[in-house]
Amino acid sequence: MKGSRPEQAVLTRDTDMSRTEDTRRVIEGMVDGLNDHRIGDIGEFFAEGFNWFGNQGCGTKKGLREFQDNWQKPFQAAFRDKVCVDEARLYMGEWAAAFGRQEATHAGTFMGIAPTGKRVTIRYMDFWKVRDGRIVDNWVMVDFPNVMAQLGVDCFGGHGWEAYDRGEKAPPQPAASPSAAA
Amino acid sequence: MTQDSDAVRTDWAKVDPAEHVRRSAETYRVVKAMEDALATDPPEAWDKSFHPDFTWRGNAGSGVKPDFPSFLRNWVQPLHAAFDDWSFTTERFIADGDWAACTGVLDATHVGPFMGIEATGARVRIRYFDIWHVRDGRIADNPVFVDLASVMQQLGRDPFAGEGWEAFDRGEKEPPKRG
Repeated sequence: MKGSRPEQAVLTRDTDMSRTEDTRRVIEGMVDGLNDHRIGDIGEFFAEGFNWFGNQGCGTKKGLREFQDNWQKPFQAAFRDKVCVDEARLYMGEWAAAFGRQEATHAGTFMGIAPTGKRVTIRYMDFWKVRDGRIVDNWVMVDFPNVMAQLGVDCFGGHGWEAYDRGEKAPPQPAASPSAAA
Repeated sequence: MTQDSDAVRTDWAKVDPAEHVRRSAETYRVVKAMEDALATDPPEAWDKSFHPDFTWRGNAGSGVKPDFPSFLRNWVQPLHAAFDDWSFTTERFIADGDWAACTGVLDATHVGPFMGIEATGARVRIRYFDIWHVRDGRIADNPVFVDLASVMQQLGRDPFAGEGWEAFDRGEKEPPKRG
């Protein structure tokens, strides 16, 4: 199988390693602020022109206002009593990353599912860039399909690859044997 | 309220900075060696990069692979059955002590059934984030997110049946506010 690899990791290659402690301070302050359900005054952590790039289902928020109106507010409308557990948090120069989970109560309509009052786990990963003491960009994955599954809706219509893990389906074979892969 | 899971975090403030730099560089080397092996070697030769306790923890739709053989059988194999002619690009890569993280994209051709969608021959972009934990010079833990829902969308199917929050961004729907 043919695979090609252009030059790798160009965006983080030249990061200023002396910025690591500053990045840590900004991210930890932001995480505490957002977990205290702050919305209106979060400009302390985010640059005005900051961009939030979510995975499918979450959307892309250009600027602080869109992040507040189109992410934070609908999220707080759907989920409350949120507890955030970061499993790992990483820092390198101007960059940070984290993965973890939020545990929250489904208190408003989410993806067309009326509130159930159920406790759900919302898994996520974040990648941040910090410049001059503020977050300028945030790449995010939030596992909305997993939350839907916990609420009884399978957005993959039975085609999720968990069926291979459970031994319910045989994983399909490639047409030709893979000699190189990604 | 925040809780940090200290079990998997090292307090680098208490570790000699030179040791931190050395461990970060070693983690970088281990992950790069794994990526090179996956790009150039046959799958049978990949296991040297992975710890005996290796677990691949995917998002919904991807599944969880509790060891290297199940990673090959239940992730790599179906992925290669569905997609061919790869180009993969790591966009961002950071290493911090025994942990590393990246964001990347796979550009590939849809050549086999994927989530119930028959092969289209379309070129798709598969976005992913990886986190790796290195132990004893090998990758032991690998939480992963692959944006499968976006791939479905690119192939003309909306797994969220119109409920995706992109509608707020496009101004098509009013985002709900807490009642």
